Amino acid sequence: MMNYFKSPFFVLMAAFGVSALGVSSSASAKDNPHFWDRIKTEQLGFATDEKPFYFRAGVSQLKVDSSSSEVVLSDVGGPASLAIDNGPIEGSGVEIEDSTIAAAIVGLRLGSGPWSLETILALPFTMEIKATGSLANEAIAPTALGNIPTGVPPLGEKFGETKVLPPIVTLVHRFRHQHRVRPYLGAGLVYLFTYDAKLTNPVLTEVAEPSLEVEDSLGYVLQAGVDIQFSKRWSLMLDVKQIKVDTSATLSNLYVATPDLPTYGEARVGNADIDLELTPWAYHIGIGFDF
Amino acid sequence: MRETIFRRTGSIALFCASLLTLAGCGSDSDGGDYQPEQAVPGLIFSYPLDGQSSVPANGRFYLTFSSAIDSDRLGTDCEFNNGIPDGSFCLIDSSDNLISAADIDLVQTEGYLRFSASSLAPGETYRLFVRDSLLDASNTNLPESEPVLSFRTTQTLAQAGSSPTLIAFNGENPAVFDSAVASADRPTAAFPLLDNSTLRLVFSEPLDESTLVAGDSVTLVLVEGANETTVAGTLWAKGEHLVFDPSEDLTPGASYQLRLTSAIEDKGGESLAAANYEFSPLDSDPCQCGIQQQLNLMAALGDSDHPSDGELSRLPLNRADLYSPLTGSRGLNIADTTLTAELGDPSAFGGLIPLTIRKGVSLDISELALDLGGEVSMDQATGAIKAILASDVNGFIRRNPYQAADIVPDDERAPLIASFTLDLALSAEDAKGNAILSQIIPNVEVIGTAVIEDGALILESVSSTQVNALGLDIASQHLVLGLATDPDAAEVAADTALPRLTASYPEDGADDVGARDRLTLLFSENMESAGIAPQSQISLINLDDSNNPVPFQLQWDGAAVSLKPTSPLNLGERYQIQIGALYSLAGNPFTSRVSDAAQGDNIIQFTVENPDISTPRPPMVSSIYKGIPCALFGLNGLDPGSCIDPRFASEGYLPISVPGNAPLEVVFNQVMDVATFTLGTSCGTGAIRVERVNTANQCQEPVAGTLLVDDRRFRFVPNDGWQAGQRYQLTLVAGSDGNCDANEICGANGVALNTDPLNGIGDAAGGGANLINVFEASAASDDRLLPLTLYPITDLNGNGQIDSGETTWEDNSARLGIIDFGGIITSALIDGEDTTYLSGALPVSIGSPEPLTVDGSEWDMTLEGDYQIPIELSPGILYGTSIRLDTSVEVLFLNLDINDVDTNTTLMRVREPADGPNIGYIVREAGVDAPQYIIQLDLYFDAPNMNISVAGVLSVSHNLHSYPLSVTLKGPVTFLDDGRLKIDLANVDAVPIDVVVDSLGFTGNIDLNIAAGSMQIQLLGDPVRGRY
Repeated sequence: MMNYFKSPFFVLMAAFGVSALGVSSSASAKDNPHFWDRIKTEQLGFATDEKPFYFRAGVSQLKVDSSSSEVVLSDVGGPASLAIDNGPIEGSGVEIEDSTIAAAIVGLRLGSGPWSLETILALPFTMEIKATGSLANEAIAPTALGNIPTGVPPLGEKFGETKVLPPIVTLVHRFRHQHRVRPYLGAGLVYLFTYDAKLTNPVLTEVAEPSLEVEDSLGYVLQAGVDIQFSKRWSLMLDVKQIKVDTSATLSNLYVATPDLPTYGEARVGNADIDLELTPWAYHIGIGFDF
Repeated sequence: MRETIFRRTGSIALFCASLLTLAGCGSDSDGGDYQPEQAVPGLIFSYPLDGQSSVPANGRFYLTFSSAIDSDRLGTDCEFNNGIPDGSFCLIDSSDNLISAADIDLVQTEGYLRFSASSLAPGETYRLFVRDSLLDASNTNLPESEPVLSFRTTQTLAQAGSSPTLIAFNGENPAVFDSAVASADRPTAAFPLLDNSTLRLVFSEPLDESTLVAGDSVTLVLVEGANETTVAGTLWAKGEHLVFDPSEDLTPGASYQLRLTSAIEDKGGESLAAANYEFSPLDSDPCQCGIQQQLNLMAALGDSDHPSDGELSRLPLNRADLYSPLTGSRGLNIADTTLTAELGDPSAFGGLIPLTIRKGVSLDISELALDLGGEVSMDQATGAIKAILASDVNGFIRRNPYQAADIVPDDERAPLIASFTLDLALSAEDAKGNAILSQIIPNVEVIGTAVIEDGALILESVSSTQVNALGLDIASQHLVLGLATDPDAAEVAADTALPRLTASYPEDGADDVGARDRLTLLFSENMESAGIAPQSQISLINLDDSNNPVPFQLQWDGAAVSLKPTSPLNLGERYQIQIGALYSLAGNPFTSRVSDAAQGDNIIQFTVENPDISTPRPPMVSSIYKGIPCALFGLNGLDPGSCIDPRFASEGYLPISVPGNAPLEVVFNQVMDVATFTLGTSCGTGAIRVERVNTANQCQEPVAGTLLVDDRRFRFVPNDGWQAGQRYQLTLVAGSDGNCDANEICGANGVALNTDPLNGIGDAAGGGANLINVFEASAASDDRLLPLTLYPITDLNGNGQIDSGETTWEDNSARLGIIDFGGIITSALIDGEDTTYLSGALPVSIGSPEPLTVDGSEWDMTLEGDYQIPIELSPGILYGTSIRLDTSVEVLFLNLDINDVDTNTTLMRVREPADGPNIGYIVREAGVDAPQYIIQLDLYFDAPNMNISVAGVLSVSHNLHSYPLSVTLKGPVTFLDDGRLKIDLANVDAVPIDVVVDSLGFTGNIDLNIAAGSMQIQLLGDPVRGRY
């Protein structure tokens, strides 16, 4: 039977815990040097004096450069078909709002050379989806049969949101890795995990709560930055990543109220699909230590 | 070392895996399972809708359910259980009489049901109960103890004894608008009355349309404080319907009053109680968004998918099915076109979407061949038919009334309901067809669903209405409309046809026009009535009275405009109708042409008949439909016996049976004093008595009904028809002598009716025994009365002579020739006129088509077609003018001249075969355009006042008393330009009349003969738009 506390998973957790302690209280790390050394040597096979991991806690800002396809309606039926057709809504689109989150970069040096494998750790954050173009500014179904007002207003910018955790793993090459200032380049993969996606648009949620699904998808990351070691253990990191990930969102069972057409009162719009092309820039500044 | 590498590699992998685990797993979703509250199963659609106030009794009814119907339960009669009808499908009248399942004609498929019921009565309120068990379902919207809907059938019969009342104002209880009801006590209207509304009124019984005069008896007034302004508009009236369409939209928020005066009368002359109805119309378009929708007819004639059945009706879309026993079942297809509808502000009326289609839009309809019973061609078709929306169409689209108000519409169980009311004015391309067909059909309530298909709103609607068929019957017309919104539909080209005058009654230059006849102008197009008052653009003047205007009332009926003088025209005087600036409903001006009925001068001149009423000759009855036109001898129960005959030489008549839906009509041989047509209101009173009697022929009660009068006839229409199996009695009172006493029927000459002409037809023969017809009512019949009258009339005053001023018309005559004589007769010749001119009426019943059984060879013709139309002839009496004979006789070696022997008025009495009534047929003869009417009649020929004497002292008897004749008549059935049916009959074979005289035992004979073709009878039907 596997000893859970000796498992690689536990070891990694312990490492993060130590990292966190190191950030919050270096004294604590000093109080238990044997513990991490024992893990490092006994469990991970590193030498006692090796510091294979590094940790840079800080803040990341996501500057999202996104584009989307036009919103494509499907399964339009019933009264809504008097106002809109299946297919793209001309001039419509969505975009992703910028975000700033607390994040930490954790890296694993691969041997004593310039290469390391790193990731960014952050609590899941909420990605706001904003309607753009005609989707925001014009009613999707202003009139039925060409000229009968429906009273359906423009959606406005607020569209939806989803919880996001985009784990990123990059392979980083540090130049002058024996020096205090170590510029680096990296590249890797990102996997866009979304959950708790929901529509927040008041027009689209007035009658019902349609479902919003954002597809999980894989993307790539290009990375550059610099580590500036300002003490034996502590370093400042400036990091910038460009992420490229394509995904799609699907809205199902959309209903809208038709206040100017109370004969119906509401109309089922059907479903909508949006293809998203996300090219965010992630700027990170962090401070941390090696261990 | 290997272990270290492994561990480091594993560390990297797990580093990544741990990240994935921390991140959670994949995308997520929320919501998306919303569904609006579901409509309950059960009734989805009905025609009529609950509460409809004027549904034709012979209409089609439609029901659509959400699940399949158990057909076994449809055919099961209901029973009353604790005062509630027990059954799955029960139709009940207001007196809780259940309509037998056997009387209901059903067409059912899955959840669709179409039915009609032959036994529905006019003017009756029915309730329809439908229970869950019909659908084998539960928790439906079908109420258990209440009717699912109720409706009132159209009242087509005048209701004597009760004044007409307004029963619906734009579909609402009139109390909603009644000024006499305190505002707080008025019911709430179900629908808003809008600024573009047409005002639609339904009365409790048919009105005398001529009493409905816009701006007079019917006035819409804009009330602004003390100022009142009469609102101009178009008025249509027919039967129990009145429509007033303001020329301009009303002003929203303004106060209006619709004023109806007591000058409005029903068919029997009973007045409406004057009333004011006030309302303030709402703005139909407060958003000022001016919404218009193009509605294209779906699968219409000309479309590639024509014909296609509708979902709602399961019948071809955009077709009108016409049915009457006279016309048979015919389908009229509507050609593809686009209507422009205005939709009011859909947010302003709580879910109601007002719909308006402006008047003037026309629908092109396929022609209707006028085939009797749908089988025997009349060689007459209408040509293309045009139906114009004669006033603004108003209606609403709304949520399904059979679901809770908060149920969101769905196309499956709770489709939107579209209901709108329109007025159709029909005209036809063919001039005669137009004269026959043209009419206004007001207040057509069209009910349907509005469902969504392929991004379009599909309006499928059904309606039943009633149409005048050949002027003889009320046909049911079942309309199925299918419209689809189509923003790209092309506008329809404007109608630019100029209306013309295609016919008139009377014709320009006509003589002998009846003093009470309705004067009719027939145009080629449906005409606009708005703003046309009598004497404005249509004038009537008396040319023999200093061209003074003659008061009259106008009645507009599609392409026909009738003038009804307020008083009978003066006998013998000349009148003139002049037509001014009129316009068609499409807005095109009336244009005269030389080839038109007014010959290009827009003037119709005519002369009223001028019978010499100074002649004290008593009038006589020519025909009774259905009955016997003479006082009877030997009446016993239902056995009528025979005409009172001093010689007892006449055989008896057959018992009289009158269908429950037939009127009684009596035709006289003279112009009558209609003031003496007094209808009894209690047993044994009045000059005209219609009574229900017991098996001993004792009066039980007078029959409530309306007496419609004309110069030479009257018609009695019972309020509620005749009850099958009941016995009734018609009595015409003439008094004991020729004096015109109270409650005696008299001629215009003031002489009482002669009811027993076989006793003599002289000036002193007035009066006589009461003319009594006892009859038993039979079930309502598909046979229809065709009141055929011999026309024109030579002997206008009925005195048997051709008087100065009377025109001899060979159209109704029999030319006699003497082919032999013998015995004591040594010479014989006709002195002067050798033709007896006939008058009278031969009313018939037109039956339904039956397989051809007539042997053409017996009629010297080759027949074609598979059907014949049976025509049952009532036993009328034709009256002939006198023939004068000059003879010489040799008696006891004395040669004596007996000159100037006048037959005086002669009678040709139709006899009845022992085995049933006289039946003739309308058949098709090969190679002949017109259908032929053929009948073989046995007649009695009488000359009751032919007195022969020798030197004034020796009386000579003759045999012209109940002298039997056999006449075979044949002739074409055609239509006059004014639409009247015309039958020109002539005798096929010679008719010998062998006169035998006897004096002192010495006999002689004069063999008269009517050569083949020398007896002509021209029978005319009533004016298409009614005589009364």
